Amino acid sequence: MAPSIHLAATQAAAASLPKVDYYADLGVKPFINAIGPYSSLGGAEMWPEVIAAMDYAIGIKVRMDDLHDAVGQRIAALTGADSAMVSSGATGAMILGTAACMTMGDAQRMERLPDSREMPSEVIILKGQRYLYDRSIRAPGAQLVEVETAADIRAAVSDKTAMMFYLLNRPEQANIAAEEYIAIAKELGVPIFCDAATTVPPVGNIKKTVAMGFDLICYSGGKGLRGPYSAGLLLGRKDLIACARQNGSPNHRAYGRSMKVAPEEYLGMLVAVEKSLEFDEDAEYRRQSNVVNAMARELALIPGVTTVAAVPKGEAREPYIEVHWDKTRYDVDVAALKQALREGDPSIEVRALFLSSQQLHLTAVALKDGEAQIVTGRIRGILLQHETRANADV
Amino acid sequence: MFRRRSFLKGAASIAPLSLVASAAADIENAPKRDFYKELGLTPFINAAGAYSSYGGARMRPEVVAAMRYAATHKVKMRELHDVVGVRIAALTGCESAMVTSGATAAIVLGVAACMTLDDEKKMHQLPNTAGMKNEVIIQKKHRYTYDRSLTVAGATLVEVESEADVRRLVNDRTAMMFFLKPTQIGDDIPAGQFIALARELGVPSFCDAATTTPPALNIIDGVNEGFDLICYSGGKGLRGPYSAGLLLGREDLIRFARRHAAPNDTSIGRGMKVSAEEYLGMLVGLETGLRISEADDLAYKGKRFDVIVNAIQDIPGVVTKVFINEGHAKELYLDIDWDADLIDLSRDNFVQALRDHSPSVEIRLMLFSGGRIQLSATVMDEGEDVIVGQIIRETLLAHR
Repeated sequence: MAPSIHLAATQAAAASLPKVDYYADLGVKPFINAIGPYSSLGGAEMWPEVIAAMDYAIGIKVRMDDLHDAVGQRIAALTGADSAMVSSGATGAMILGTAACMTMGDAQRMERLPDSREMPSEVIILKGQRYLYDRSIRAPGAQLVEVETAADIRAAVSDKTAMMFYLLNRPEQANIAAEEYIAIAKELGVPIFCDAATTVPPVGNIKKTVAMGFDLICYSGGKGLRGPYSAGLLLGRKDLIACARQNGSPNHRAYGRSMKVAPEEYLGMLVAVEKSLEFDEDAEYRRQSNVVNAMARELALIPGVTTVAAVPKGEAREPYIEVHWDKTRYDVDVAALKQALREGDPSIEVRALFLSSQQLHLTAVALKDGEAQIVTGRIRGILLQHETRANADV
Repeated sequence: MFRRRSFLKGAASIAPLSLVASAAADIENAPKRDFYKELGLTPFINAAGAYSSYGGARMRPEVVAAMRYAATHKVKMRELHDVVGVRIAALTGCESAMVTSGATAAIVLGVAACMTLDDEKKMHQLPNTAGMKNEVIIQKKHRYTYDRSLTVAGATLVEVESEADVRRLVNDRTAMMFFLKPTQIGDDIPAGQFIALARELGVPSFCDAATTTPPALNIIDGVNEGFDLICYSGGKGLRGPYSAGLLLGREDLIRFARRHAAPNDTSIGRGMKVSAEEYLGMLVGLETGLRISEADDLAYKGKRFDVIVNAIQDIPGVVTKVFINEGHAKELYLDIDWDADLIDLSRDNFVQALRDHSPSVEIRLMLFSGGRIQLSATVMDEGEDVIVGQIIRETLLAHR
């Protein structure tokens, strides 16, 4: 079949090239990731099936609009959503979702963004749910309006209100339960957007969250779903997804033209959702638990060191251990230990300080075989280096 | 000592199986699926050119190999950005460089950098530009479809038609002076004069040179011209990743542009993500492009057209012409025409017939070809030329 000439030619040509170790050539060092699939660390390892699908999409060209339509329909069917699109990450989904609620298909409004003077531009957000990434709501020109109670919402909603926002992974920081918040939004006729970016795995959470009744929901594609790094999902109401697409790439004058999603990312995202849905998450959870438990046992052998095993609340279901040590015995604080791990060879990244309430956390989600022992060995070495004289003499 | 807080019961018996580590090896073993068939999508042969809506260029094989490498080797993003930036700067002769999620993103980030400079508070405040420089000078003749991206970060446009206009309109609100290359209708103020004026007035100058490749060597000339910032599309003339672009220029401005971009959590450009494979793929696309001579590139395309011309030149009334367009980017096109008395087929119907054929063929949009039938071989592979020649032959013969 003719169109596969390109696929075959591309793959054959790429395979025939000499193997280059690009990172060695550039002097960029690999590192051990005991923290998780953060964007700044390159995200998650993609499913092999995702990489194969990306190769396919690089090799065979279809018209982008057709691809967006077909993949959107398939993802909607898989997740139970009314409609779906692939965005350039969860942030891209938040920006386009907010822009959709502000412009609602009005071409003049879309052209004017981020100048939001003559359109609804206020986004209701619970004060307890203000967070790092609410920045992206403001990117297309919206303003945040903080509320704490149902009465606050009723007082704050006006014809300037574009959207109500809910952060799914911080239920304990919401004064109002998600169900009530959704009900109020419906009653007031305001579109409600849910950031669920970090709530997978388990991927079953997607269907549950869709069923809750949010108008729009976003997910990160390159983390828990193990899809392409710069991809995300926006799921929800058909009219709002259509508006979000109008504000996105490849539309020439769209506010979001710069948030490009390659065909290989579009197709790769679909395959990541498919693969995640059929994956045995319990087995993967047990694998990660075994690795962190083994690290905990190793560390507990060091005098004065204790560990606590835990799973984050509301977030992706990834087991981790919290590591404590007797600060009178080892004269090194969490920040210094983190820095020593980062500066060693190989460099090791751990969760500490900002993202873990000043504690040291270790996760296994991105650890490869054999790396857990290296991490515990290095922690032991650093602690012993800083052992106080009194203890060292014992 | 080891306490359990939650969920860890029954975790003992499964042998550790690192799904992550085996990923690279599993790619080859992934079941071969015909995804587009499953999705009901019809692939097409692209004889049109590297349009975004058609999926961009044919990536160079070297780029595909580099992307595969980056997909299975993780490094810290900032380190990758640093070293790739340094390498691209060395290759192109600019002070500093970054990879963006396309030329549009390069414009958005470049404007943002010029508006906020080093001021963290202003960065966080965008797109609200109260209290900062937010005006972008643009020649009236340089207004175009993509000037939309100049206003995305919150700037407003100020149109000028002469040097006197520039001198009158530049003030303490002026963030940047913008220049477009190439334009359809020329410039009132040529590049050299525009740059000198910007320097004299102390305003950063920015050039959108997105479509001025191939050849990639044009980038070196572009950098030499002396704009403070200059941007290129990565997925078109450079045959790099689809959603990648280049922003080149002054060290301080590139540093600010990077702070406005992903993966910084609270940047205005966090939504414009560039994956590690795109970052590395862009470097390799540029390196490869700079190695390949313009003559080789044109010869490859010429061969594709030879095959098509050979398939149709014996048809009475058919006239073909291979030509290089005028302008910054050197593109080879094949123009096909026929005697309407001998072949009863309108140009519109010809385009539709190719599109409706199986396999479907897209040719250059008549919007860009002045209404003529033209083909580009930019995205065509060896073998596809044979098929395209045959389809065109059948289509023309059917209307004799």
